Amino acid sequence: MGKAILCMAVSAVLFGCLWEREVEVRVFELQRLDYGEVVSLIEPYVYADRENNPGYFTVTENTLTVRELPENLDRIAAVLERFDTPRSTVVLHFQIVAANGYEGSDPEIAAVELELRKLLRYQGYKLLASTMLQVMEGQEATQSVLANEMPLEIQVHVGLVRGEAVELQVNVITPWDQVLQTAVNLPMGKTVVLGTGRNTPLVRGSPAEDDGALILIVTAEIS
Amino acid sequence: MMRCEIARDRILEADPAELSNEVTGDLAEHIETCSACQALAERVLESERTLAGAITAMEPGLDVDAALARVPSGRGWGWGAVQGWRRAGLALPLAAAAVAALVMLKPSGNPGQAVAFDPSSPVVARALGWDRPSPVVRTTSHATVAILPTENPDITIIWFMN
Repeated sequence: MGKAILCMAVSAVLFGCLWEREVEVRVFELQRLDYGEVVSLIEPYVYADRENNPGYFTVTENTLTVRELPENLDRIAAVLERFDTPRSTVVLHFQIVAANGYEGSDPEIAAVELELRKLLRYQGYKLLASTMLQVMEGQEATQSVLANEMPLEIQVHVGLVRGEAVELQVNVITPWDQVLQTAVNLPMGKTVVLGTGRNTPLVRGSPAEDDGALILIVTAEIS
Repeated sequence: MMRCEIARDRILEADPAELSNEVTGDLAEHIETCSACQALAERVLESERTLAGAITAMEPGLDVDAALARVPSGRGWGWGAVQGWRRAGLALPLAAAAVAALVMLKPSGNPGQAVAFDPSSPVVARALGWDRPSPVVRTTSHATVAILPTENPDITIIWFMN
């Protein structure tokens, strides 16, 4: 009987301690994770159904605010430290190639040219310009180049690196026309060859004239 | 009288002669009397004409048998992909020549699945049976996209027809 009373007393004390424990509010700056990812990661540590002092969180564009017990806030901090890593800088290498009207091979694009020749029947491929861009994940950048004496603008938006790939939005624009607009999931270290047979001023100025093509070779790597 | 939903399926499979009423038949008859199906037939014909212009450049330096022999087994490339190409309203000679090593999807469609052209949705293409990180392409509506795997595992060619 005495033991039972003692247990109840201890339980009451412990319960009382929990009852009285204060939740804290902590603000985390988000670097990489989006809303859905943050919610799925931290929801298990936020006790919204606690009777007294329930947990609560809000997510804005780059900020996570959590109201929880200190130990749960520490757990959340540990989770974020592991998964919300700083954004990387992605290095993009671009090569602009005109197809047709050229004989011979261009050693600078030999590997791609080899594969192009197996699949397409253009007479030849010539590298017109090369450029490189360093862009942080989630950022945009624009690079102007002269290709075959034509001003050409490459606009990119680099998404977040997911696993081994990054989503890249690419626009290629001449002063007269938008010749390429696409988004492509680009595996790191791999080469994607974006080609369009659309007749462009760029191609018109080349020997390809009517049946040429504009080709953009893109490779991405983490800086 | 043929129903529109049957006609739409057949339009994607039909020969250009049927679509342009050069031959008679129940499909040609339906197209002649239904403005919606007539518009779809015209769009399919226009796609075929556009791509016919690209055939010269797009023809690979291989015949069909040689090209098929090149395709590694189990990669998912095959006649299904060719059928998908055809069903999307593209020129059969191009599909046959461009081979099994080529996949083309229309908006919201899967290979081999005929889908309507939806100008509001972006084209999404994904290579079938890809044993590397899956390349996904999004582009503007009405664009025809081909993903051409190459023998070099580090290089993927993505071709925009228009």
